Amino acid sequence: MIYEFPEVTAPIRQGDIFQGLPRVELSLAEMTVLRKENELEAVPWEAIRQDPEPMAAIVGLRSVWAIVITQDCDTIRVPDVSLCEIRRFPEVVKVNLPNTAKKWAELIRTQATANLKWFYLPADPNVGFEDRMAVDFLATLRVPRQDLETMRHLRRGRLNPTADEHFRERLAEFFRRYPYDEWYPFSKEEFDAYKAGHPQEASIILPYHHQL
Amino acid sequence: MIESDATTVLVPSETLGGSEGSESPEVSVRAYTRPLRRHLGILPAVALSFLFSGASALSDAPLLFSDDSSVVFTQQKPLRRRVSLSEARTIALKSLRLSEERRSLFAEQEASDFASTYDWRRE
Repeated sequence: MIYEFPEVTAPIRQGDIFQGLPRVELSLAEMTVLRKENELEAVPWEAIRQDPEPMAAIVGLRSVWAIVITQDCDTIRVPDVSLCEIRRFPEVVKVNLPNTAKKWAELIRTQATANLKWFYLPADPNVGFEDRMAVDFLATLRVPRQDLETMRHLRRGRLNPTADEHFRERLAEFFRRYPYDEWYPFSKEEFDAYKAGHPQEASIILPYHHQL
Repeated sequence: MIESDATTVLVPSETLGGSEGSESPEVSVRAYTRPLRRHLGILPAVALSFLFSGASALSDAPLLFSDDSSVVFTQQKPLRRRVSLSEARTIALKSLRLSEERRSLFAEQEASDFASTYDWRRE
């Protein structure tokens, strides 16, 4: 498969796969803070955002699989290591799943160029992946580097050189994107057709002067 | 939390070498191995420190495990304990402070490295 298995003492590298790291979730609309008086208070972030003192809060946590995205030269020195969450393929990629090997091959091949938001990880029981998995580039988490180093026994594997090369390109490609109006070079006729085909986004699809 | 037999004490590997900065996380445990009996006297204090301070005791560990100390450092076992709301708040704020200190220190090191590089290029 596409994985290799470094020694537990090996330094952390981009492409390392960890099991059981904490993903923290909080809501700006309502959060529970622990006041100095040891009283819990539910407040919107807006109400306390200008508080000059640091605060303690109760946050949601879930233990997740994750893959290191911090690049190798930084994983040995930076204060924090960044990772992307790994979830089961159908949870990340909401498409009708193929039912034949041929269709799976086609999906896996084309996803590498057609999508930019996830990275395919094949099943491998040696890693702990009983099913097909995917890296969700939209779901990032961050952990202290030194803490992660002490928990390298949670590392279940690492992308092999071929997969790692592809992974880092896809990762860079995802974060290199920038938002732009994809209709900017359209003629008026092309613009009208494009807008008609995207009724749910019609309010934000505004014409450039040459499309009026 | 701490397991000991005739020759070893188990504590977190991050204690090794105080890996702040760019040291390799691979540190020889042999370098930290000495006869344990020389330090039996400090073990109760170390144990209590870890039991009641959790990971926070790690920052104090170098005071006890100096260059003369005598234990083998390996993986720490998980620990659960009940805490009061007050202690929960203290733990949360401590993690915040430590994170900010780590980032500040790293930023200083980066700035120093950059300054050195810049000066070198000017010469």
